[in-house]
Amino acid sequence: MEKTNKLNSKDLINIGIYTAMYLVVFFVVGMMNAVPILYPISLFFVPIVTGIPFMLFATKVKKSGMVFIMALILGLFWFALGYTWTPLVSYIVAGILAEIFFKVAKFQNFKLIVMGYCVFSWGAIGCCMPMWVMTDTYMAHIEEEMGSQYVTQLMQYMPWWMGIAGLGIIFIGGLIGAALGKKMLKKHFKRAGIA
Amino acid sequence: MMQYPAYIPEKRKGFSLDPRTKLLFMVLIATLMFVVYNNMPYICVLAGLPFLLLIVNGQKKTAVIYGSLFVLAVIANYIKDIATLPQLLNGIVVLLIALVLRLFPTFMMGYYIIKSTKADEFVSSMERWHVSKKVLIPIAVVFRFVPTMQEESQSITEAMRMRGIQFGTKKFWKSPGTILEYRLIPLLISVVKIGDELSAAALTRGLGNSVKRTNIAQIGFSKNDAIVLIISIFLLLWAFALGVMS
Repeated sequence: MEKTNKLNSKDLINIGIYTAMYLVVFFVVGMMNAVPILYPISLFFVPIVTGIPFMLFATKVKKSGMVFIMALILGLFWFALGYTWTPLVSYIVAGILAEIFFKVAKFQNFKLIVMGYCVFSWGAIGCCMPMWVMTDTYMAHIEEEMGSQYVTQLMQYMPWWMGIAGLGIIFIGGLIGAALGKKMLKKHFKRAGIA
Repeated sequence: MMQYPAYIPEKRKGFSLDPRTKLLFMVLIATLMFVVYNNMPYICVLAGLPFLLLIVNGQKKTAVIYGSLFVLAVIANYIKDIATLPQLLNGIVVLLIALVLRLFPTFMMGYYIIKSTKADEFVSSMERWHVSKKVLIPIAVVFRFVPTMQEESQSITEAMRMRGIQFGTKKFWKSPGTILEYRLIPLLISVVKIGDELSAAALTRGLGNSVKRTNIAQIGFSKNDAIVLIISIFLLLWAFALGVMS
C-alpha cells in the first residue's frame, strides 16, 4: 500500500472494528451503571478494561485523524442511544486532545500515547453529565415541591465536583488500563502476530 | 440480445421511516425532554411515541420492559409524597425516578433507531446529507460488527464453560481477573481476524474506489414520514403553549 498521510479504506475499516470493540467492552463494564451508587466505581473500571482494545488500536494508528474519528463516532453513538448532547461534546473535545498527544508522539512514543489514552477516556464523563447538567433544571423543580433544605441535602450526595473527581478517577483508571493493555499486547497479541 | 430486468428490492413492510426522519425525531424528543421537564402528561406522550414505534417494529418484549418501568416511575412520582422515607432513601428514590422519567424516552428512541435501521439505508441517507466517507465507513463497520461480536462472545463463553471459567465457580473466585483475560482476549483476536477478512472483501468489491457509488436502498419522504412530521409540529406547538402558560 502506498505511503500517504491520507486515510484509506483499510484505515477506515480498522477504525470501525476497534470502535465496535471499544463500544462492546464499554457496554459490558458499564452495566454496573444500573446502580447509581456504582457510578464512580464504573468510571474507574471502564478505562481499565477498555485499555486493552485501545492499546491494540494504538498499534494500528499511523495516521492523524484516526483517534479523532473514533472519538467522534463514540460520541455520536452515545447521542443516538439517548444520552443527550453532552457525550458528543465531551468526546469531540477529548478526541481532539488525544489526537494532539498522538501527533506529538508521532504515533510511537509510548508514554505520550498513554497520556493520549487517558485524555481520550475523559470523553466518557459526558455519559454521566446529563445527571449534573439536568439536575439544575430538576433541582429548581423539586425545590418548589419540597423546600430548599431537601435540595441542599440532595446536592450533598450528588455534588457537581463529582464531575472533576470523575475526571481524576478516569485518568488513574486510564493509566492502569494502558499498562494492562500493554501487558496484554506483549503476552497475547504479539504472539498471535496481530500487534 | 436478451434484456434482464433490473433488480428492484422489495418494498419494506410495516411502518418504515427514513433514517433521517428517525434521527431528527430523536433530536426533537431529546431537546423537548430537556425543555419541558415538569409537565407529566407531556412527558408521558413523549415516552409513548417511542414505545409505539418499538411495538410497531416488533420489539415487543423490550417495549414492554421499558414501558412498564416508565409507568412504575410515573406512579412512584405521584405517590412518593404519601410515605415519609428517611432522607437518604428518599433522595435515591427521587433521583431514580428523575433518571427514568428523563432518560427513558430517549433510550427507547435510540434503541428503536438501532434496531430498525439497515446499514445500507443508513449509509445512503447519510450520503445524501453529505456526511464524509471518513465517518460513514467506520460507522457502517460498527453496525456490522456489534452482532458479530455477540456471536463470537457466545461461542467463547461456551468454550470457556468447558474449562470451568465462568461466573460463580471456585476457579473464578480464586482469580477473578482471569475471567476477563480468558474471555476478552480470544474475542479481540477473533474479531481482528474477521475484520481483516472483511476489509479484504470490501476492498475487492470496490470500497476503496474513488468513484461515487450507487445504492439500491429505498429511502425518501413517505407517508409515514409525513405522519411523524405532523406529530412533531403538534409536540412543538404543545411545548410552546406550555411555555406561554407558565
